[in-house]
Amino acid sequence: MTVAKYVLVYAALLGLTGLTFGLSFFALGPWEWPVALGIALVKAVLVGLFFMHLIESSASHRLALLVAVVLLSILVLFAMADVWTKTDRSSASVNARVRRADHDIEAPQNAQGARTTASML
Amino acid sequence: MSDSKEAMAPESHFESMERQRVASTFGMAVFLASEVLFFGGLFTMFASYRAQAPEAFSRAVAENTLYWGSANTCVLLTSSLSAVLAVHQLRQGRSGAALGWIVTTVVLGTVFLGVKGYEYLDHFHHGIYPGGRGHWFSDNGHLPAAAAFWSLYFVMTGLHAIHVTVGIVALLGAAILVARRKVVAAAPQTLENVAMYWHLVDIIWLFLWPLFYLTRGGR
Repeated sequence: MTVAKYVLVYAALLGLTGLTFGLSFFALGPWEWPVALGIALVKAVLVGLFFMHLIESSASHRLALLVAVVLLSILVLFAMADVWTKTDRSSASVNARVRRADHDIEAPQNAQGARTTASML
Repeated sequence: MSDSKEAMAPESHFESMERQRVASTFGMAVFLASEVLFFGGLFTMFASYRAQAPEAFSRAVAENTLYWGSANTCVLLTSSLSAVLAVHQLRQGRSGAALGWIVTTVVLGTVFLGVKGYEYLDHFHHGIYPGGRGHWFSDNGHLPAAAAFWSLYFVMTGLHAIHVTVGIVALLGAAILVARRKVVAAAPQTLENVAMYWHLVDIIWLFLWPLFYLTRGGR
């Protein structure tokens, strides 16, 4: 690696930072997260390969970090599978609570909880 | 070369300097892998809370100090460049230049912490404290999701700031060893490992930044 190459990688990182910053001003809807995290991932790979010298280090070094990434993916994947299948997103109950709070600044879930308790009694 | 004999000789349990260097970098890689999983648990927690209250979370992101946080991303990326240039200069046998780049990295890390501290003060000023305390939460209907967002924000960025602080201390330690010719071109692994740690802390911020500053639904 030469100084020029390091500076080139740095310029690419700044470019991607500007890109993701600019894109954040647009309502990308469902694409917001894939775009933001995708660009962050590309930047992380650039830092890892060139600044951490993984591109020229031995396979064992790369393997150690790769194992962490694989384990992290399993953790996130299964945790999210759990959340997405358990959360009642069809009625978007939590979001509905956010909207209600705009009109009525109280704790509606407590009121509901009290009602449920009352009906149980 | 002004490399001292001491720095050139491997520890007794290593056959050669090369073996020692590979083992040292591998040890650092394993430690960094554990750091990835350490932060990974918090990222998973953030993801599951956010999946349950996407709207409240993107509103909270819109409240954050976007420009300061984004400027800090550039500061940290620049510090990664100076860290890699320090390693590069040391490998070329230019200890003086390496020292200069280490000091630059330390200064940039300190700037990052300063900006982060200013952001925290700004949040406190707006009535946003960890644990959902402060008048901002009562003004916004005491949403549990908002409290979760800001608590995660303080924990995750705070933990990251502690890592930056540790990195600064480690860089200063490496600078002393470089200045005393204990870490030289023939045995640069101490500085290489500190730089690797610094880059990982940078990578963690690259993911914290979109989580806490960017994903606000285009608002």
